[in-house]
Amino acid sequence: MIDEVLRAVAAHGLPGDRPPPPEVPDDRIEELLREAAPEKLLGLLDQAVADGAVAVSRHGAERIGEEAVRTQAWCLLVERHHLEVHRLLTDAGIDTRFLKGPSAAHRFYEHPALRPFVDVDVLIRSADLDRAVDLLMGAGHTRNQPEPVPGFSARYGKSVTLRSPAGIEVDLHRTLASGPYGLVRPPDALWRRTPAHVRLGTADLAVLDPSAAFAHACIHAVTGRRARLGSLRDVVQLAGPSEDALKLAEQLRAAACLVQAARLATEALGPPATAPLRELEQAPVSRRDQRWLTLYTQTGSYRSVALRSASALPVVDRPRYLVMLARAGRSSGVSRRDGVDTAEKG
Amino acid sequence: MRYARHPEVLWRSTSRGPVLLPPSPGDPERLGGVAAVVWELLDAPSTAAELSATAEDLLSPEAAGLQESLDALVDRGLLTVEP
Repeated sequence: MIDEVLRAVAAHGLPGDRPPPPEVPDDRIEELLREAAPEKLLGLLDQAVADGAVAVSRHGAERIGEEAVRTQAWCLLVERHHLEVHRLLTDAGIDTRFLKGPSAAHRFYEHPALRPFVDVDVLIRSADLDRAVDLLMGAGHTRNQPEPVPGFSARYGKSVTLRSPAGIEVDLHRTLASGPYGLVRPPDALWRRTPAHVRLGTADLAVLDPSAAFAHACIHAVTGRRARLGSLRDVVQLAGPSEDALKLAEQLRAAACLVQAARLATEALGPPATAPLRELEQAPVSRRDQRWLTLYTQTGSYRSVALRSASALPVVDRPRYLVMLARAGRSSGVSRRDGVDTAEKG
Repeated sequence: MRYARHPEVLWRSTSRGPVLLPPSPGDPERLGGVAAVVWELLDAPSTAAELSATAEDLLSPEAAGLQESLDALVDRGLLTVEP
């Protein structure tokens, strides 16, 4: 029953007729809140209850409202930390593209509370990664995982995660995905595109342009162990004309992620509301991409996933990658960020 | 005098009223009552009279608190005032 309510919440406000979800009794409210939070649906849940689309008692509505306030308070603290990260990196001359989070919430949703987030995600160039890590550490952040072996993160990692003194995580991304889609090609095509900007307070943060943001939403949705409902809502919410996004995804060798994301979004949220998603759903997916996409959903050690991702690298690069993985195994190990994510954030 | 949201205040709407975060080191706070209505209505800078007229239906039982709410929000640095 809770699953049915969550799917209705994830689709709340989208065009099309959907059957109303069952009323949530008071003794299931806490369960609903527990399930909605990791799906990034507390904002939409609060809105759906306020709109009468999800039936709960007055007590239930108050509890959901309280949780929405708590969630938004954290979002605002994270949003303010975006400004600090923006200042640190831009003052040092490091080019940035802030990902997900406020970039999606402020641009693509009716109001930003509908799209909560929990951390700071920012794409930087591989060449700037070590310097950016040093800058943040100099500002009091601590690194969650040590470098597996020197140079690994900047060459093969998806991101480096740091934590601010206040407990806010900052993911410095080198690529948009872990695993094969992060290894197959560096994200140079993203850096060739003109950034968009999102205003937070009095600062303008560089973010991905709408097509690139949609491509990233799709890649993000299908390169975790499980596609979360909030991520699938992003896919629908960010979908615009697909030609440009598909062209970019082909440059990143990740076009299959767009197809898979469109299919999963339809499966979870109902028939696609937009022509681009309908077109994407019909596109073929190669056997190689099917294998890669399956890799993200499989259980297994991070090391085994990282090893199986090696086939995505150019042949000349594989020995170095494998040697680094072996050395990492003898030292601190390879984190999930170097293999395949299990926890989606942002 | 025209009132406006302070440009550095970050905020969100919720069913229980807007949640605001002033510049560092301020903490998040939720507005309620007249202050919540005033904040939501200030999409563009407005005078107290304009706000009162716009919010007549919403605020009529508490209209006497409008100016007090504006003053309190200004005092806390959440609103700016232009002559």
